[in-house]
Amino acid sequence: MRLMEAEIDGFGQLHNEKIDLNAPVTILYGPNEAGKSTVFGFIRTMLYGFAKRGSAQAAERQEPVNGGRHGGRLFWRDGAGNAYVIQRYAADGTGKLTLRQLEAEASGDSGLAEGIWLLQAELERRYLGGISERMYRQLFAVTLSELQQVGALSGEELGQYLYQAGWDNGKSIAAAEKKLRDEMEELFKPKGSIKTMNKQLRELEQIDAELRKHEDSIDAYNSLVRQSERLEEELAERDLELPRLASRQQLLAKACKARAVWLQKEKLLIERERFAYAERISSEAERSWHELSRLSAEHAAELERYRQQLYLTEQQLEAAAYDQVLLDAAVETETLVQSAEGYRLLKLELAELRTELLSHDEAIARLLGSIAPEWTERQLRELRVTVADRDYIRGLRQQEAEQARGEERIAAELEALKRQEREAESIRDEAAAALEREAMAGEHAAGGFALLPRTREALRGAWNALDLAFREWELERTRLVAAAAADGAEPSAERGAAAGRGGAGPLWAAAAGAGGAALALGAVAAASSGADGAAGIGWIAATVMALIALVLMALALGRSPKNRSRSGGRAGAGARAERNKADNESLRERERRLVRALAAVIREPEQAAASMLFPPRGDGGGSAEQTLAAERMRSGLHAAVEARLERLQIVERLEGSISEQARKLVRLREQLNERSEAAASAASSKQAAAAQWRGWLEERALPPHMSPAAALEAIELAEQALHRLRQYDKLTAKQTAVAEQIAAFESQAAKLCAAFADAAKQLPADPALGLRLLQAETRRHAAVMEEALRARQQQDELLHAIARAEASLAELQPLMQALLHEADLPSVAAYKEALLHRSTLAELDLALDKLRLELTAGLSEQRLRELEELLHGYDEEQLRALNDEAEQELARLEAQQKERLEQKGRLGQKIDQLLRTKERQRLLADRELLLSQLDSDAERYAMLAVSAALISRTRRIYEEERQPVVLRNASGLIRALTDGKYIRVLSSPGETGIRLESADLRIVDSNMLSRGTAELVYLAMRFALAEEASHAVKLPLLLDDVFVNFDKERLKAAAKLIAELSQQRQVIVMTCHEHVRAALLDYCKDASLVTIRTAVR
Amino acid sequence: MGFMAVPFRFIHAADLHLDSPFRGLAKAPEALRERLVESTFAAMRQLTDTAIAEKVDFLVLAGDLFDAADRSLRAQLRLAREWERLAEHGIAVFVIHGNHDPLSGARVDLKLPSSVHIFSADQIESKPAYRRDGELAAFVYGISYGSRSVTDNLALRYRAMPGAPFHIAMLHGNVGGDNGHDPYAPCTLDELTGNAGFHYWALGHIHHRKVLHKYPHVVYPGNTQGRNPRETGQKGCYLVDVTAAGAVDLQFMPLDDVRWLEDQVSIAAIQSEHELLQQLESAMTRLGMDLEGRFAMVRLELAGRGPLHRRLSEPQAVAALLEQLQELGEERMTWVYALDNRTASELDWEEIAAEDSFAGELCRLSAKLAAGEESWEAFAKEAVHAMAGHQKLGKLLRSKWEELPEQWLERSREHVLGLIAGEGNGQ
Repeated sequence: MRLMEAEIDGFGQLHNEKIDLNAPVTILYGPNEAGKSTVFGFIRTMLYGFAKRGSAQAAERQEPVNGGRHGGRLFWRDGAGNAYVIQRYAADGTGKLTLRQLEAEASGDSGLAEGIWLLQAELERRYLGGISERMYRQLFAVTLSELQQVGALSGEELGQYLYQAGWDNGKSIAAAEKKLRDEMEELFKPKGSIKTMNKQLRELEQIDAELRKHEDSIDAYNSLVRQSERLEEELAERDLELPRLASRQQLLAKACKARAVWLQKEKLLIERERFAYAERISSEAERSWHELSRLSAEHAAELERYRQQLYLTEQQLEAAAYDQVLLDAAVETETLVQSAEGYRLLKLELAELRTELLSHDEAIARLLGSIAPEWTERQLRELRVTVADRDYIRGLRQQEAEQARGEERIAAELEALKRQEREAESIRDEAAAALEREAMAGEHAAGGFALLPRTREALRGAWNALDLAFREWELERTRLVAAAAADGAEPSAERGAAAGRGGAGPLWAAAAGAGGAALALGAVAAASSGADGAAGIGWIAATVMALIALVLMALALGRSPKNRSRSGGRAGAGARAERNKADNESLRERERRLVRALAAVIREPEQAAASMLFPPRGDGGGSAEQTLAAERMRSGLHAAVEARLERLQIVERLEGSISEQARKLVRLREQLNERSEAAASAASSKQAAAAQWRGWLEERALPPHMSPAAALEAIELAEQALHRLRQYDKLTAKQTAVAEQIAAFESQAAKLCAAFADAAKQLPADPALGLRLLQAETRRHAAVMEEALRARQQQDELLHAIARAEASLAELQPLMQALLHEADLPSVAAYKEALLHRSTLAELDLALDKLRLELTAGLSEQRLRELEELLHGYDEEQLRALNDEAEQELARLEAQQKERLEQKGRLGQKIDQLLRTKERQRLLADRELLLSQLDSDAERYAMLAVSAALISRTRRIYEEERQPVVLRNASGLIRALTDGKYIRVLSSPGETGIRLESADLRIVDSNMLSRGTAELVYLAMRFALAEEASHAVKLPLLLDDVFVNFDKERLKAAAKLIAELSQQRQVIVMTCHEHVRAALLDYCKDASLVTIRTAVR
Repeated sequence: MGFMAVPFRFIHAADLHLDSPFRGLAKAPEALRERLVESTFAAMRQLTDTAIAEKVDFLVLAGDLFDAADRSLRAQLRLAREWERLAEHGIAVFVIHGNHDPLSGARVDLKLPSSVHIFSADQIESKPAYRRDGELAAFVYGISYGSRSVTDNLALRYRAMPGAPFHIAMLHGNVGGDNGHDPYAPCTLDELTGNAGFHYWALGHIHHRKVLHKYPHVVYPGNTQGRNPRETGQKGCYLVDVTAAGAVDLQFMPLDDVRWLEDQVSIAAIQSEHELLQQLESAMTRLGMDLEGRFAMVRLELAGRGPLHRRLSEPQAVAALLEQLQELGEERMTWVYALDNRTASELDWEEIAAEDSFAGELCRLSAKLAAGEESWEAFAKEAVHAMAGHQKLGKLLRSKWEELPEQWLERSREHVLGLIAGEGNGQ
């Protein structure tokens, strides 16, 4: 097979490159990194396909880095000279190859001309001599690194390396063998002990030994259970025996302990025999006996006591003595003693009476002296003063006082009247004087007007008439003036005014009248409503007034239509002249009336009227001035009238006062006369009364000069004295009575005390004391008598009681006798002794009971019997011995039993342990574990061992069948390479090293070769192997710069060898070394040089 | 037959192997180990519970109740307790002993309930089995192993006795020459089916349950609790209903507390170890389903060809993976006790075999060995000679050395080729 050309579309750094390979030897020259190895890769890829992504060789896939389609074509010729082209592109379905035959000459393979898809296996089989990619790599691609390893290896390894170079992939076989061997050794070594399986084996032995040590648990269990059962039986047996023994021992112990008690009990029983007879006395009999004894003793004692008392009573009676005389007078004495207090009081009273009498006597004397020196008791006793007397005196005294007061009053009245008389005279005089002054003044008054009317009413009426007339006149005149003014200028105005005024007058009057009527009616109404029967007269007056007013008003109304008709008539007059004339007529009428009125007022009316109606002419004022003057005139006149009215009033008052005073004076003088007469009559009646009084005094022997008041006082005193006197008389009588009582008492006392000397002795000094002594004595005697009486009574009672007691005693006797009889005892003394014995017997029984109780406590009848037997049967010593024996036996048995129980517990524990223990189980499990490990390890070991055996056997086949050829080839090659220095390559069967035979027939072990020679040997082996491996198809040999380290000579030899090899097959050498290139070019005549440029990148 | 046939129900179980030790627990957590150790007992209790719950009339136990001739004390006591429970419910028990627990073994002196009958080793006995209401249901026949090794054909000695409507024969032995088990009491299936009069052969000894024949029924119920990696899947007993007409209905009742399971995970198309771990995890999850509270002891096998092969051919790599899986398993009820690597490289074996190369030569050699052109035994014996010849290991693993399983060859070839011809092999 010869490669012709590589057409690289895109592969690694190469792209669009055509490399001519058509030469026996092609030298691919270029610097490092130029792409020589890439060409290597490309050729391999074209032959065997793209390296798979993700595989170990992924780096050899060589995706194009400088563009171009990934892949390309390889042109080649087979041995027969047929030309083919293989085309592969990575994009075509994972680098499917296309093969095409270029010059279809001899072969009749028609399809190939067009190119066919071909399976890789088919390609290899048909065109590549059955060489797989793996083998291609191992056989035909020789790299520098392989050679470089030669330099790195040491002796033996080197030998091996060289040896393996003669095989395909010898290195990895060696590695595999080593690996197998290592792992096997790790697992097991026949004589080892630390290897895995050896160790496990040892452990297994240990476990087995331990297992053997573990006793057979089932036998142990069975034996333990049997032992346990036996023990159980024994225990049960003993358990029956023990209580009996214990009971016996208990009884013995009890017997020992109770023996003393028992003995005592026996003793007591004997003693009891002695007193047994006392049992004849029943407890009832005993009780009866005691009762009877008690009763008889009681009765005897009682009897003795009574007798004692009787004796005492008799003694007492003998001693009792008393005086009957004293006792007889006892009541009397008692009474007297009781009245002794009265006696003492009487004595005191008498003394008091005496004193009182004396004081009364003195008082009477003093009073009599006060009344009159000559008055004695006789006068006093004779004096009789009645009530009338007293009244008389009091009336007299009052009369005197009244008379005096009357005199005084009359005198005062006289005085006052005289004073009033004087005052009235003076007032009258003063008023007369004032009137005189007024009269004089009145002539000059009234503002120059001499007024006519002398009274006020006249004056006022005259004035009023005047004023009315004036007003009317004035109105008329004004109207005329107004009318004149209407015709001409002034006169009509004047008339108009006058007309207005004239119209107004009657209206005002009417109004006034109406008002008055209204007022009057109002008054009537007011009166009627407010009167209520009060002021009837007022009411009437008001009514009258109202009526008058109504009349007045009616008059006013009746006049007014007349006026109107008149004026209306006037208005109806047509012509002016006519009217003027009428007007002047009217005015004139008015003037006249006015003058008349004036005349009634003033003394000189013409003058006044003139000044009023016709003022001086020439005056520019005309009608107006006239009016003004008239008015002034009127007001002056009015003032004069008013002043005159005032003065007239004053005069009237003064005149009234004078006449009043005159009347008063007359009345006063009359009164004076009357008073003087009254005074005279009073004086005469006074004298008559005094004479009567003197007569009365004489009649009563009283000093005549005594005033009624003194008389009254004397009577008062006399009455006091009389009163005293009567008291005195009463006291005297009382004194006499008291003295009598005292005497009676004393005499009686003397009589009574005569019976008792001591009292009699005391009596004169103090009768009361004497009497008390007597009384005490009497009482003493009374008490003695009383006592004697009681003693006698007691004596009787005692005698009675003695009799009774004696009877009772006698009754008891037969009862006691009966008891004696019953008990069959001779005497009371014997009975008493028997009773004592009886109680002793009871005590004994009690003690016995106690002892018995002590003995029998908690024992059954049976046990008690047994106990009795023991006590009867053995003495103390024997009992103790028996007890000790029993105790020991019991203790022994119990200990035994306890021991058995413990043993049983231990057995139970052992069984439990046996059941619980898992040791054996664990050991067995461990053993299984080890066995399983051993098993799996042995499996592994066997697999490894078989693997190793397979390799070893295959190698033997190789050594036998293949190696001789390779070695022969290699011998030829080494001779050429060493220029005949070494002539043969040898190997010894079963050894992995190789040896060389030199030209001088020396055998040299590969270990001893120089590195350079070793490299040559390596190359020779590789070339030989390649030669041997592919007989059918000569695939090209690719050498990647393997000669770098060769010196010139060797390089020459190598180049020559290449030239020789290339005779047989194509050789492609890559180098980046110029000297290598040069050498090859020198010695290989057919070599073609292909230079790869760095420019590619 | 003239007898009133009545319907009845019984349980057929065998190979309880009480207190048998377990393998493959090197790194298992303590709780799991405890549970495993207890698992045969748990299965036994479950057997009792099932019998009581299903109201069976009696129970037949066809041998190997205990794992060892020297029966575990614990096991004996516990079994007796279970039998007492059954007796309380009026359920009779018929027992034969097998090669693992022959009557010659040590026994605890126990007073067994009267409802338990243990067949002797002297001769084949027959015993009437009654329904719980007292009606005769069947005759039960059986014989125990007197010693460990019984190589007689016991089956030939069974004779059905007249007097019962149904006949049950209990036999502990290897029917049909199962290679996986010791050839004790060997016989052929025909010998059983040809033995007229028996309706049900209640077998024991083979741990894999199977019904060898119907009418008459020849049944291995398998063991009640898997005890090693080979005893995979559900384990339990058969609940057998017999109608009055003699129809037999078998219902499998699982009793196991720990279940041994295995699965394969192919590494084909798996690029990374992480991805592989995920696959393994999901396999674990898959196996962990339907356990109903049981614990799963899982063996996973890596198989197929893939890029990860080379990495996995390192034992450490597989160990690391296993460790990770076990960490996961502590949380779940699934414990991966083994992760076996059976992967192959991506090499084309045929191509290699055709190749004029070392690998090709090796392939051809192993092919020759496999084909018997060269003696595998001689080759293998030679290869493992170092260990097989070892005084102790040779004896201990004798069966292995005697058997020299051929799978070694294949595994070795894979291994070697993986080493020398695998990808990236040193170049």
